[in-house]
Amino acid sequence: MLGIIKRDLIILFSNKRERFFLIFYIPFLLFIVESYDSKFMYFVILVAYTYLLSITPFAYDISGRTRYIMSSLPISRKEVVFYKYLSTFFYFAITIVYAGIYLWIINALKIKSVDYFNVEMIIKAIPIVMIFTSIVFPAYFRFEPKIAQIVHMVVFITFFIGATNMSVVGEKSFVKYLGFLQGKNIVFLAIGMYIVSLLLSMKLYENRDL
Amino acid sequence: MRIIVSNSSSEPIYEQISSQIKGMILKGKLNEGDLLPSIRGLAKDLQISVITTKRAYDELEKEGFIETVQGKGSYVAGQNKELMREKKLKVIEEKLFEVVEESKLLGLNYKEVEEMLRILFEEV
Amino acid sequence: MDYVLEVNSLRKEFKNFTLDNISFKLEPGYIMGFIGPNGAGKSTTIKLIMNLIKKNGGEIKVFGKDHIKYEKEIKDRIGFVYDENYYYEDLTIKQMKDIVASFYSKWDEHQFNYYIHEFDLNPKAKIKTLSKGMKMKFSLAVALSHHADLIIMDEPTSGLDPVFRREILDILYNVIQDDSKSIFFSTHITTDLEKIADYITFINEGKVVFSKPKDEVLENYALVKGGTDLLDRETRKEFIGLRETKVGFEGLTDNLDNVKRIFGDKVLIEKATLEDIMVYSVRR
Repeated sequence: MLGIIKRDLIILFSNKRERFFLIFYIPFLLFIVESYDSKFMYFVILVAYTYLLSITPFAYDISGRTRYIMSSLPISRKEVVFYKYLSTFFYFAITIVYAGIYLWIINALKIKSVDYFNVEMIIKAIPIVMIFTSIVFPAYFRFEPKIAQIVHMVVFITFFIGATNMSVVGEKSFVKYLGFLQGKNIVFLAIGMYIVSLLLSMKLYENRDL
Repeated sequence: MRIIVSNSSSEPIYEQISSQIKGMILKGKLNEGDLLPSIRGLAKDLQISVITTKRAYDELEKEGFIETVQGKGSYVAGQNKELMREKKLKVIEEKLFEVVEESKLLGLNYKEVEEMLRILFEEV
Repeated sequence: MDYVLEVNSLRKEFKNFTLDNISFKLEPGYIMGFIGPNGAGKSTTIKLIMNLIKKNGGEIKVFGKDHIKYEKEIKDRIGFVYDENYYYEDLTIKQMKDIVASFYSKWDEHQFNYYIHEFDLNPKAKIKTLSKGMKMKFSLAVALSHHADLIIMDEPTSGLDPVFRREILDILYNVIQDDSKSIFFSTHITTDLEKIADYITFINEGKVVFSKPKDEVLENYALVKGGTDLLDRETRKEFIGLRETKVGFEGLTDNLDNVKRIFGDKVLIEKATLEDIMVYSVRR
């Protein structure tokens, strides 16, 4: 697992464009998703950031050829998939720390009043991230990155529109949204989807001609 | 140790190698117990394949010229004992021929030469 | 006998091409050259061995074990070098090495540094700045730095100059000084193999033409040159490939004794190189 994560992190940080993105994405989000509810802001940042950390490394296989190297290493297809699904939680932890520090600084410098650590939101964000990745991951494991990206875009833009919408419509609707999230249902749904997605990805990737 | 192979010769490379080594052994340039280059080292030096050098060595071993010890390498064999013996016998025969010739010139008879031989056998 | 690589009746179907009934075996400690014209199926075969693409039929065993069931432990002992460099271009050599090394149980940092030094590579250089030759050397350094028992190379020297190819040959000679190491090397540049290969598997249009010890191949095949008057329907059958001109013919035969018997000394007989064999076998 360490190997996969190491690869992803090195890829993420080696590219200037990625580095730029990683550093400026948080303020970008704060700017785009205007909301009076700082808890909500925190939630959006957690989800968006973790999701992007997980998905971006897939894009680096766009040339296709890099898959040949990784797949020639001593690791089975199943393991590749499994560790990828596991790594989402690892990225989530990184996001909590990174966003936490970043937002704390923003808060301390009185640029904007933001939540930089909120357990309630963390607990609500995890299932959402799981649901999104469970939809997008299989696409990357089965199709060429160019095609899979379409699925990713659809999911991500939907999330974004939803997020900006929520905040615009105001407090009331957010409370409703929150209510929906409160149900234990979402957790079970997320876990269920994640596991199904994992098994599906394993099946798809195992039988794929690279 | 000198082994040169030619790519343009009609003689297969493994034969060129084995005959050159045979030659060196018979001429005495390689002696019993001498260590030969390893199969792989020779392949590398001559820039040929391992199977070729192995074939050359297998042939030499079959004909009794060399012995291979697992893990150690190939040595010149306690020479083709028959051949060695024959060679040495020939040398002795030649020397005895000289002795006989000289003795006859001096007028010695067989019994006197035999006596000399007996004394020598006891002394040496 | 545990072969280091054993392929039996391998089959793979594509839309326009089928790899059919591919079989060959390699004993440990030897080098097998895998030759064939472009498009013959060499890369496909290697990708099948490495499980990068899925086979439709047949069996592949590496170190005596099924290549899919024991995929991970097998790959831990395989060093691979491909022709196209498939690395992440923005990474430095060191970064790429760090990623790859973490997967191998027997990674030898000391050995890697030795090769990097030997090959004159700068660990801080980005992969995208490396020439094709340097990328190949980097691949080789990685392949040789985790105590691999089988080195698999897919056209590693195509596009590289002869000086460079000789250097690679020297490196391979050093590798096989250890008789537990084996090499499987595909190429269409047969001169590289003529010296070092112990076995040759020749593949054409998805089928194995022959898989034999190199010496045997070179001893049985020959180029025959003579006057066209010597050719008739019967004698043409003796040749695998024939090139006829106004001033004579040149043909490839795999039965030298027969040819000698039929033509006697009316023809000139020359050694056939692997390239001759490949060219004549392919052109028909």
